[in-house]
Amino acid sequence: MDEWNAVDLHMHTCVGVTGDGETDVIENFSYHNFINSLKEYKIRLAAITNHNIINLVYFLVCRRLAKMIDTNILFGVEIDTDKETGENYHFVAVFQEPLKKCFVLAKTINENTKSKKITGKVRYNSAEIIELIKNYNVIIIPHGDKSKGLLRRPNENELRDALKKVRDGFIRVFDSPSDWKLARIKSLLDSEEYADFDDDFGGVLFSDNRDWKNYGKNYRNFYMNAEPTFNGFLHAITNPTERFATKEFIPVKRSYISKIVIKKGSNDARIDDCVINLDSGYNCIIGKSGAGKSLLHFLILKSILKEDDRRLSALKGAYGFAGENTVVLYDEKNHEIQPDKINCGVGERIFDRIITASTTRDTNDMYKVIDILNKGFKPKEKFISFVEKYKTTLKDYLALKNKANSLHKSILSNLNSFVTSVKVLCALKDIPTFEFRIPKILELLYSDEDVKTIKTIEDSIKLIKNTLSRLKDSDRVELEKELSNFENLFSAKLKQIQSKNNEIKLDSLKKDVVSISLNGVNSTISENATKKSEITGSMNQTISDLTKDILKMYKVKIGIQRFDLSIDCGLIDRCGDLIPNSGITFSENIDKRLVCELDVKQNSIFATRGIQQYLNNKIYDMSDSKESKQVIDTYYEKGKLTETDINKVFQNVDLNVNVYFDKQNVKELNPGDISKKYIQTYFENELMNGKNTVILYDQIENDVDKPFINETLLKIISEMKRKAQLIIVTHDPIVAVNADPVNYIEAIKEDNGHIRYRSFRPESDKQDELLEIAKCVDGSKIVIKERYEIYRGDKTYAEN
Amino acid sequence: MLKIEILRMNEGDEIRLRINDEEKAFNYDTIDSLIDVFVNMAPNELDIVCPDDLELDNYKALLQNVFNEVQKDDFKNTYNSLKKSETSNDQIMGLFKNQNSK
Repeated sequence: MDEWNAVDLHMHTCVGVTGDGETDVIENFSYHNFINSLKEYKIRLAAITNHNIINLVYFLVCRRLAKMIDTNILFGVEIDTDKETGENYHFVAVFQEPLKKCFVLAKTINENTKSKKITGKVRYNSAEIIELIKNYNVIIIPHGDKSKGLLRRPNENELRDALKKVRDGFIRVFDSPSDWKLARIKSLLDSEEYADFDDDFGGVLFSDNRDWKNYGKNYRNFYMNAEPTFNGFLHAITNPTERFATKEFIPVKRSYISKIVIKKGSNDARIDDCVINLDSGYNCIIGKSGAGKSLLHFLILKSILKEDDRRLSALKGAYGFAGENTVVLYDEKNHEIQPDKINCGVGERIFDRIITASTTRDTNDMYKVIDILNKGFKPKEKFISFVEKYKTTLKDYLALKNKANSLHKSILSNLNSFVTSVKVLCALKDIPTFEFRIPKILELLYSDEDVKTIKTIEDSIKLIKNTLSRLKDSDRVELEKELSNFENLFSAKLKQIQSKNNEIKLDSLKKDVVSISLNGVNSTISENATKKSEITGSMNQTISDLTKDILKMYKVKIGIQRFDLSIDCGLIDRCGDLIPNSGITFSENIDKRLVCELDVKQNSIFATRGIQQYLNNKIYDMSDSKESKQVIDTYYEKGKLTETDINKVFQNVDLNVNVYFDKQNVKELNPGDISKKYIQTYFENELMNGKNTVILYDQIENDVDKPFINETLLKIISEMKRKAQLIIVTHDPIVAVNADPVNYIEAIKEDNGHIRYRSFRPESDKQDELLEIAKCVDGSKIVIKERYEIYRGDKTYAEN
Repeated sequence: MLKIEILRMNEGDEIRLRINDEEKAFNYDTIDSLIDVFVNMAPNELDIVCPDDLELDNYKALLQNVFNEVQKDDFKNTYNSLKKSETSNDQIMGLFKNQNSK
């Protein structure tokens, strides 16, 4: 069955009687034209409503033909009446009665009209209309002036406005025979309000067709989201703005679940074979406690989410037995739905997770809460970045400290050597030597190694040349020219480098010759003179090295001094919106005492195991540059600042994480406030993003109060179901009835423990499905009664 | 020849039809089946009888009028063309079923 069905509850098939007793002419009626019109416009529900008369024969034969094209024809009549002002208007009455009763009704109407016709004025008075309503199951549709009809060519807003009037009771203003309602009917008939309504609105939802060769001219393109039956129409007028629409305003949905097929995988399977049909709009899963509602929710999730999806893992344990069944989902094109191929939103039980997080005080539990609210949230993002930088700083500091140590050793060694040399020179001060200072040996601009490496560029040039030869002439010539220029330039530069190096090398050789000659002269004087000459020669180098090391040491010390090893909490802490403009925020903070009152001996920032016995319990403020350096230096001195130690820094530090709803910490909020805020935000988000085509929610009403369900949740569901397929598990009568599901899925647990599911529309003609809903949703009898009171009268389901 | 008797049962509250000796309720389903029969009948093949009762005469008139309407070419042609497409739909479904059972 289609979800939306074309409806026309006002069509003429035979000559009628006008209000003035004249003949109301019908043109071009034939069964052929009638059926073709229904077929062409795919009318699924129609009513034959001739003017002031009922031709039961036509009704019966048309009904039979229409049935062959799956169109339901209802029995009706268009009646003339007067307001108290004397102004004439029409209304259409459509009946649902057994054949015998229709037979009697037809006879009554026809006889009444006949007798009225004699007077020259066919008018049914209020009392006669009320008699009809008292005795028959009827829908009354006031029929205004079509030339002024609001819905002649309605836009969406006009249509919705008109449909709101339907909801206010204007389609079925006449109802059950209780006295107060009769009084109300009378007052409505005479009221100014009703008069306005008559002019503006009327029965222009339907064709009022009289010409069967031109049905299309009168066809209103009017659709109904309900079974194409009398009951379906009744059901639809309880929520007209959602259930009626002209074709262009019918929501178009894609990528939704149209069918679930469950099969037993083994004899141990506890879910019986079944096929569950779903609507593209709002599907409501109902059933008694423990019947398997949440199980079905799980089975759907299991079929459309990835196996490792977090939202599944929490449920797997509870429904392990479901593995004995195979579940296949189909989309609207009847294609099997593969996991992760449909964008699916899942409303979650956030309060339970908040309770867990508050109880365990485990940050990860609070991050699970955050994940429900914002899937893209990256925990500890700022903290992780800070720790990485801090580790790098510590490693740089460690390298500098090590360098200072090594320089210190080098300076000491050179100093010792210098002192020894001075002592020897003092002892040899009277030994004559031939002194001649040779200038410092010049250093090469490029080492021989460097020159060798640079020369490899020549090989590269050769390689490029060879490769270029593969190119076509047009591409090659320009590149070869550029390469040739480069080769010349490089060759010149290389020669220049080599020449300069050779010059320096020649100078060095000259100096070596002079030095060797001087040593030769001194060695001819004495052995001591040789020694003195050697020491004098080497001292220059020692002094030079010493000076260099001292200078380096100075720089390193300055570097160490300038190093900032403090911990800035501002670089760790963060707060902000979890969901923009929702009032849902978060904060992540490091414990300030951990940083500002750090016990050097034992703390969770640094690994102190193994050196604790060498440390006291002194407290340092790590946010202070000076004190933090003292702490790090202490660890360095105790050999506890190796790369391994640095890698463990902050490893055991956890952050304080909090979530706030409208500036109030969720841990301090009650379940109702949390759930309300979450539901509202969740759906607002879904409506804004519009990415998810299927939204599932298990027991949405949990923890929230009735006013919220009535005022907010109904509105949310109403908006959401126009955009996505909704599948909601509920126990709540308002969610199950007043939110107006198009389709119900009932979970039934048999006496043998087996579970089965069935899907149905509440307006079914076959059995009173509302009674079934009333039976398995606590408190729904009253809600159903209230919902249908205006339209349906005192039906029996509430008493059953 | 199709014989239809109109009967009053349960102290006159209920109208029933005896169609070729088979008793049926006066309801939409019965009328539908009668129409299916009427459409293939010749004009003189229907015999409706009822006790001498003014009210039952009305039922007789209704059935006779339905028969007359069904006998019209317009109805017959429309009915038969729909029946034809209904049959071919059934045949297609039958083929599917056979295909699946193989």
